[in-house]
Amino acid sequence: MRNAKNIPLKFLLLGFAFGMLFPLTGIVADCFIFNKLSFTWADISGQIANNPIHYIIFMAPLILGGTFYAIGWFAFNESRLNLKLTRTNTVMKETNELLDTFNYHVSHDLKTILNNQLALAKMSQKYLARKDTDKLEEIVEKMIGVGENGLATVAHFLVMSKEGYLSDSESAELQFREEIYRILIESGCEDRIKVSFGKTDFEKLTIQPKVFESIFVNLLTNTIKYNNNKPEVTFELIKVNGGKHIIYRDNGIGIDMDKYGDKVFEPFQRIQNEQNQEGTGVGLFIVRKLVQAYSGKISLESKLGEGVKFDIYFPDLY
Amino acid sequence: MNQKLDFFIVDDSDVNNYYTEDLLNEFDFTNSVTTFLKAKEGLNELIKRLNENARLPDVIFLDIRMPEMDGFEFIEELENELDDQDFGAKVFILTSSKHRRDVEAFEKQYIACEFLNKPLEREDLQRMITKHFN
Repeated sequence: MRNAKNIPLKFLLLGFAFGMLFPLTGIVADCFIFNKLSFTWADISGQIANNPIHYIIFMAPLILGGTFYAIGWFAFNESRLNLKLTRTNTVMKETNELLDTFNYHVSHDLKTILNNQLALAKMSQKYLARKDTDKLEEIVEKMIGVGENGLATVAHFLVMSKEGYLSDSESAELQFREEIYRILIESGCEDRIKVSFGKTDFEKLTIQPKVFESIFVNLLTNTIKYNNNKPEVTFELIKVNGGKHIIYRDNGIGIDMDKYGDKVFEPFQRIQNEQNQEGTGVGLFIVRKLVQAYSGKISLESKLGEGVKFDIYFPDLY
Repeated sequence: MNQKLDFFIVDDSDVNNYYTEDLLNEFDFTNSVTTFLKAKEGLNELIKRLNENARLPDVIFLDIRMPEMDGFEFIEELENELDDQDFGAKVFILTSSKHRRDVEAFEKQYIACEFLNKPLEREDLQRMITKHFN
């Protein structure tokens, strides 16, 4: 951030230095041409007094300095504007692709709920005619299950609208550690997972608070869900050239990378697991999209039974 | 109809399996119904029977969207396993999807012979049993 703000100042110095060339060249030229190779101060000041154009030339460093400062300021703002635009563009393009896939899956999943409900209603009709109340009771039980599942499915899909957070909230400088503890408490997970910090080069991260929350709530709940031990996470916050590197390590069941690889970041991918955990398969997809919206990168290393390691990298943009 | 039929249902939705199984059991042509909640397990059972030259089911109802292995992956694996021999069982896609993507994928493969929508209707079932087994 500090670096970028220096840009107009650098332009000012450059303009001033460039401007200095004019009076210096003028004086040297005076000495060579009008003063017949005399370099004494008396002769120089004589020439200056003789011709008032010197005063105008002496203004050059100030005028050019000012002009360059203005150019620098515009350039800086434009590049900042461009960055913002590029980011908005990327987000929009991805939102479009997302909507396409989203449409396919939402309509499918909603249809499944309604089809199941319809199937059970047809069965009830049949058993109602036979006055088989035992069977009817069983069917009604299932109908309730379908309804509840349906509501959960809709709730999961609403999570997808987290993408919308990108456009309507401002970035803030967050205290990483405090923020992690805060979201653990807010999501009621503080007793279900142990979080510790390893190497910590930086404490603050500039990001939209909702984005930060979405990313880490997703990762932390995955660690809790896919775990056979007492869930534990270690963060490492490492300052790297031009950015920040966050390492997230857990002690969960891990992922068979030969089998799934980067598929885990694709939408609607659900990995079969012994825990038989329910999910819509959009969590890591959202995480990656959010990281990418900050021109960041996320990658995963894992072995079955040995937990996961996420490397998240955010460049220092402004 | 004199033939008794064995059915496999491969679908991760247990509610749909509950319904389909109940519907199939209404009919005299049904001999047995076996359900698989995971495509992989259904596939393994078929491969096992193929290798042992054991009796295959007569009809397989196959869902499309399932976790880990979807219906078309199931078909692809089965095609690889069959290596151009004829597959004895009739496969029917049974899905809630009417999406172009899925219909196109259905048209590109040879194993499944019909594309049916959920929930399986009594009339559809009777029509297709008559068509394929009479």
